Amino acid sequence: MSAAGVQRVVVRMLFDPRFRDAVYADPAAALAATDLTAEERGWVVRPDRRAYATDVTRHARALLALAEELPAATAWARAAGRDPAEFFASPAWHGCVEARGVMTLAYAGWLAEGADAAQATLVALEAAVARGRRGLGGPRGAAGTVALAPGAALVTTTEGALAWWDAVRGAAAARTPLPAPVDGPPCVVLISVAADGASTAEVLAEGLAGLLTAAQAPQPRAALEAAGRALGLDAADATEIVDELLASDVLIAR
Amino acid sequence: MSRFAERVRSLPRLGLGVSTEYGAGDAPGALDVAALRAAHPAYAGFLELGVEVAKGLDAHAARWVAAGLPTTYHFLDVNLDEPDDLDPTWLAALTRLARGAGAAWLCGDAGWWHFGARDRNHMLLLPPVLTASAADALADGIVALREATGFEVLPETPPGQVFVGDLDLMPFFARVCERADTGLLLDCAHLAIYQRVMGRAPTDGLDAFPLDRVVELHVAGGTEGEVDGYRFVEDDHVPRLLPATWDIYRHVAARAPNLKAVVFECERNPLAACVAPFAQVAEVWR
Repeated sequence: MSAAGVQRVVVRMLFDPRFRDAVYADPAAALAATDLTAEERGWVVRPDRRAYATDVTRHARALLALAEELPAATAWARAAGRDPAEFFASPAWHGCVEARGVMTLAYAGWLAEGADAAQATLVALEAAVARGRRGLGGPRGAAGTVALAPGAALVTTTEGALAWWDAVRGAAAARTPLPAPVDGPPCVVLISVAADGASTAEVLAEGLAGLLTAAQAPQPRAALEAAGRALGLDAADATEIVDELLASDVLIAR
Repeated sequence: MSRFAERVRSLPRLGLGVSTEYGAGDAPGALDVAALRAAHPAYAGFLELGVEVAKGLDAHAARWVAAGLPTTYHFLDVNLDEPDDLDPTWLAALTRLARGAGAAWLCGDAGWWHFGARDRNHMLLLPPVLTASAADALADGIVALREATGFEVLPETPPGQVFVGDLDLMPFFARVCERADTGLLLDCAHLAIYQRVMGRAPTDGLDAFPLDRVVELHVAGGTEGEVDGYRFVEDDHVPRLLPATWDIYRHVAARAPNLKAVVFECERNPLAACVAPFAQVAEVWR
């Protein structure tokens, strides 16, 4: 077993008191899913159990960081009576630590579990921004292909969702009641995150939405332009639009 | 590259200094480093810049750098034992920031700043698992960072309340220093907390440590806390140093021939509260 594996168990014990208690009660059983040796299991229970709990603001600090990235989804969860701190006792959290995952995206996944349509919309929008910030938006393509850029992501939602998202964030910041979701016809939203982390969101026209949906799969530029023509663009427009999307970092050519 | 014993001679003696992190100077009641430098230049001989590459320098740090004043670069965003953390993009940005700041060297807590890949706002900071293999991985990361940036890299003894592994802290860092052929940033307050956790006297084991490796010391105050009857010291950087920290500081400062810098970590406290302890810290190492 590597020291990193031991360290991951320590992280989980620091954040999750129930897991910590389970490890102290029966290390072999609680850590059966890990590769820790008997000696290493002994190491993690050798400190005074209470030493794991000395940082009383650990959860609050982590949640503050998570809520900065998913403010509306976090506020909606709280309003629904869900305690975000429960994330740290969830399989999503423990799996994230063991798999060296991205905490923010694991939290987004946890928020989405059993979510109603409103919560699912907020999570989808804010997780798309979080993925874009980390360059995890568009796919990785081979050389010679064009695809949605790493800082860009598409979210299928309804018209009016962006204004409602803004309103929820505003209400959460102001600690006022959250506005009710609005219904509308379906649409596709483009989330774009710039190199400095600033994000934009816009509802796409139908043709552009179709073109960028096609660009979620890396493909030669000619194939993407052909997809544009199939969506009703003439050849010159397809070429011009792809050029503009490349220039604005919505698409990336590899 | 030459051996540490030769390289350390070319490192500047920075004297007594202070530390900062992004935004720390904007907090209510925070230490005004420029005012400290103006009123007591000997207490602010240099500024240790606590930096996450993703954030860079804040306005206070940028003004200090623009004035051409001495600095060191304290990283806050690298797990030195994880080779993936030393990615080319981060290395290039760190090198640019450190060179731009005129840093005398790089330093930082040698533990886990994050789990998984580097990410925003983790600020986890756990001590390393104290094993020989972990020490070797840490040393290899130090060498890689030194060779990639051209800066001397001083691992810092990190804070913690939970320590796991089969080595003690100082033998662990002795192994790191030997394998990486590097100097050490010994945080006296962190070591005092470790010794207390392990039930030892403050200076236990220091005679067995090669103190010629110590290039920089940190001193800081701490506060006693209690959780479920468990008493511990919180490393909260109040101006009042605890007796165990004084013991370690006096012991090491008197025996470390390559000591170049001492940081009094009191960045969250107003100048008036720090002047007297600065004088006491300065009295120990001249």
